[in-house]
Amino acid sequence: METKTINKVKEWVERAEMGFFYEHPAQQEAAQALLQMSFPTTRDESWKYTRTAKLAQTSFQLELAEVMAEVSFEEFVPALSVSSNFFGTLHTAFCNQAWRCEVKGNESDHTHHFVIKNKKKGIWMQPFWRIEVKENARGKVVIHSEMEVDSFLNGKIEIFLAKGAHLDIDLIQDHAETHFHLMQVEVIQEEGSHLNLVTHTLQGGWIRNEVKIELRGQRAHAGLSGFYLPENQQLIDNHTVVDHQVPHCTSNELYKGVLFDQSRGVFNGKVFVRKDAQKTEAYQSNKNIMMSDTAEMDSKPELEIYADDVRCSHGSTTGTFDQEALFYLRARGLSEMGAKQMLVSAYINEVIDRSGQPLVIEYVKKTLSERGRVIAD
Amino acid sequence: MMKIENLKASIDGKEILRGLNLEVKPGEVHAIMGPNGSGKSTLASVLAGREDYEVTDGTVTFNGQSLLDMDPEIRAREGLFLAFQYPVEIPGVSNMNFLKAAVGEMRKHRGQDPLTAKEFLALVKEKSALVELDGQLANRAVNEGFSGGEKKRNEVFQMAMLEPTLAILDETDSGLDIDALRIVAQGVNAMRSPERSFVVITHYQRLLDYIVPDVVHVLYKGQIVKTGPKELALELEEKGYDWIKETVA
Repeated sequence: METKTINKVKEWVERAEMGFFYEHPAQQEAAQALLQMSFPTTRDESWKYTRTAKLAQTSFQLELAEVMAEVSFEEFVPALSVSSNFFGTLHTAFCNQAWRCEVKGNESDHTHHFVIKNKKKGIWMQPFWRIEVKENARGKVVIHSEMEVDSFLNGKIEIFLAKGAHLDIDLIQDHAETHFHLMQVEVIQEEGSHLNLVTHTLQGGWIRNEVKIELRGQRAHAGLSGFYLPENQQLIDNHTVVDHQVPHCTSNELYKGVLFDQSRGVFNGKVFVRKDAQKTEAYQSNKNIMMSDTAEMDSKPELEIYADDVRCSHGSTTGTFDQEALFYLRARGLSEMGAKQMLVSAYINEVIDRSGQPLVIEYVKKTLSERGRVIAD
Repeated sequence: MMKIENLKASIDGKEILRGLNLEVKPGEVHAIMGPNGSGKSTLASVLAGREDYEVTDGTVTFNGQSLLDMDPEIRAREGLFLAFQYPVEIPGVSNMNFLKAAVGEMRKHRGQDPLTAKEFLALVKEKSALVELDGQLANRAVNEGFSGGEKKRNEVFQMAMLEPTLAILDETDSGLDIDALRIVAQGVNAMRSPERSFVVITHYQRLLDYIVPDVVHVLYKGQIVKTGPKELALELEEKGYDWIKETVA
């Protein structure tokens, strides 16, 4: 049994016919480690609700993704490290594209825009980004993934916010139903830094976002939010970890979903408050509306608090539409469909409006309204 | 305009309306009074099309058509308006967008061209003044954080925007202080016309000092048990509902 699983990974890795892209010892090491690993299954706690079988059974060719980036993003050789999880290890072993962006001054009126695309079938992409905002600098970044055909992207974004740094970052995910997408976002925040991350999942077949934030310096703030509107048999999974390591930090998390048809949503939010992290304020909320009886949402907030003087709350709600609100709108002449769209818009606008970038807010709302998912303001 | 015949309706298997008859002619204002639990709000809900209620018998004709066969939005577009007893708060939906959509649907249904943004704003300004509704309220989310009085004024404001032919006011006076009551009544009175009818549902006579009805009905145990001129309301105020209960028994 054990041999069989190992072979499965080996086969899959061999089938992709990749070599090592960077002459980095971590790549060799990771590739070796990979042979002892297997694709996560629903027996793994953090993969309880998200199946990888379909991904594991598909063959892909490792290639480069098409990108359209501003000059502010430059290609570089990343400092890779060995990860403990499967997809992280896979990423380290076969990462083949990397860019970095450094924000040094106050660039709050400028957006670093990165578009990653894929129009070629059957390929596997392994991009890496490193975004560094220097001391007291302010930056705005958009990473927009447009995946049009069956393919797999296993990506990683590393963010470092120095003392007093401020970053607004928006991830816009707009994918074909046949695209598999795994994105790991790892953030380290120093004293007094401010992060505002919004994940806009416009569409996708299989998406798993893993966001991990380490609050290492006092008075740092992390805001993270996201929305998802899966339909058909799509799966959208958001896993977050906010690690309060020092006192006086704040975090605020809001993920909202509207689930249609037989789609599935997963939310798992962990908040750690370490022993020394007194005066922490951590808020987390996940709210979902089920638009069909056959959709499924698995929501799991987790708080681990080891300090005693903290203010933390978490909440998770999953329900159907507010029938009173729906009736009220219809009683004023709106069609049932129109009323629902209006309520869905209002519901997710709360997340979209958290973006620190007005152009992103406008783009996302416009795109969703053109597709008939919401009604424009 | 509207004729209700032998209307019976129940909720969760419990019969609330037990053969109600009522005819409202154009331009008339009917008051429906009655003790708690007599079926006043059920009547309003059934007429507006709330799905929780099951109509088990009877007919409602509205401008020659069967009202009960229509979806709630069609009833609204055909000219029926319900001022809610408890207007619902809808966070994130702005009053303006909501009204724009509602007015748009009404005009489309009547075969009228859509209003331009300028025309719409002018209409908002004109109608909100009727109920002394601060312009700021129009920009907020639907009823969110509104006081009880503001919610009721917002109902009358929406009514003025949508220009129904039949308006049902469901306990619009509940929770209003005397000033808000005066403003709400003033809005309603400004809309009275020979083509427009009102059904004013209330527990107390107080509202009828401001909105003077043509006819007063007493609803008790799901039926209209007494009908009279506006003076009937005063008599009820004086003698209480026990008097009616005894008469019926």
